[in-house]
Amino acid sequence: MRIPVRVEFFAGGLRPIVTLCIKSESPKIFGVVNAIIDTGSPTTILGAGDVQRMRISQVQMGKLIGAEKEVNLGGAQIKTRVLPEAELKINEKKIKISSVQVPVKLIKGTPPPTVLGIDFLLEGKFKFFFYPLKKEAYLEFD
Amino acid sequence: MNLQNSQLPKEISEFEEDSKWFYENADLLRKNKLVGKFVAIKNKEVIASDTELNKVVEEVESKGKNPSYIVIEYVYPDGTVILF
Repeated sequence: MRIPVRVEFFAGGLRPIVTLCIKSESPKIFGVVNAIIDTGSPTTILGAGDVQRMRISQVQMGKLIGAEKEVNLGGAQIKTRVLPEAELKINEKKIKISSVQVPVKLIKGTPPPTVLGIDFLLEGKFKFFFYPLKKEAYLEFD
Repeated sequence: MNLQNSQLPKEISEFEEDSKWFYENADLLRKNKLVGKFVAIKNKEVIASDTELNKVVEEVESKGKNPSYIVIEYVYPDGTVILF
């Protein structure tokens, strides 16, 4: 089966982008986000802007696990902690993913977008097709 | 402002349409002096903008909308290349 992926021009180039629903029970997180599929990133990172948009309270942010880790992404410098388990829903496919990085502090730069890394492709057992010349992209799974 | 599950597919498809509109109209937004600002888009229209994301989120809420389901993006200057 295939899930279509949009190919949009964003910040200097064509990017494969999907709209997805993210849900977590602890901390309580729920919202719709646009995410760039980035095979150069080993992990999935929630966008700092998306975190603000979803109005996650400080109490809920306190439920993130692990120590703060400094991450440089898209020209921004952020500190992240880990969301132990989240469910991503794209079309009707649900993907459980562990260890999503969540920005807790923006040190420098513009909030980067949500990035789906290799962990997302592994958990969803996806093959990823990207043909920028024809602006064609999709995720494929059995 | 919680949505019923039955409403969600509509919210998601509207979010998708608004985000497509944002990427396709980035030049128009730049021409409208929105460079360097965060813009909130609903039904293919800018409903709030500011240099500070928090202010845009607050304005969206003041219009009775849930920002979790509203496209809010940053308008980069033309020629900006972001590497991940």
